[in-house]
Amino acid sequence: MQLTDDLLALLRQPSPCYLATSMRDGSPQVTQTWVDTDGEHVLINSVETHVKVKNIARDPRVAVAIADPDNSFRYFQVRGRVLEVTKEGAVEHIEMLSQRYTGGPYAWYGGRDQVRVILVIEAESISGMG
Amino acid sequence: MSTASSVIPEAYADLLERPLLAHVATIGPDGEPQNNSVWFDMKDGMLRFSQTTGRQKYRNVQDEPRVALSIVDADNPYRYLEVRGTVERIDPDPDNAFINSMAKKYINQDVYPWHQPGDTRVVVVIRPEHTSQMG
Repeated sequence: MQLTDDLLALLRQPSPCYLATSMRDGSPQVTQTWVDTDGEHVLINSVETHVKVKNIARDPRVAVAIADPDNSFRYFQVRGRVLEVTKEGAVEHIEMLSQRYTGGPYAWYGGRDQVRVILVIEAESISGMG
Repeated sequence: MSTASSVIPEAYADLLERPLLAHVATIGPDGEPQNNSVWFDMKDGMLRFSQTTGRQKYRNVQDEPRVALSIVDADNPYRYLEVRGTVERIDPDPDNAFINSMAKKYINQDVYPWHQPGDTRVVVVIRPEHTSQMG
């Protein structure tokens, strides 16, 4: 489904984002991430070997909470599924996000050899809060 | 606020005491994840948040008591605590004592201002089992 204008505005700012996935044993996992959009999808940049990316390979259903950076009590929950996990453009993408979120180049916290990927998420439901 | 549980590192105890939101992941009826923010506290080593019995999240934790929470330091987003645990019990909150204590913590009001007639509140009590942290 189409992303709403209010949500798109948050996805284009350095908004706090939380990604929930399902572990192999069926329990949930949640981690904080950076977030972006291509205008149609929610985009999250991650690392090929991270638990959440392995979880998505097994079960692409996710729930993403995107908070207003100026008011963390206001947020959207997007439930949907990961359509694609792509390496294409992912290094440039993390550098762009680093500029947006930190004002500087990406620090490659996990080492320069980590394989970055972009998670392309299609929204199936959007709910707002606050 | 009582002392932190042994599984939560003492250096992160402030994240449980300051008015920071927790993002809680639960598992929905079809096995899919859900993700909502909550007001919470920690007492006797247990994480607690308020819930109305009409909400999906309340039904979720009855069917699948395993949950995950992420709590980020609002002053330093690279300092955070992620907790996985299990809902051990759901306590009644007939006088709204718990939600009112959350209103005190988060918005410094003695009474939760958004209570709706007919809402039944409970306290979801989580035993932390595993944490990861950064910063």
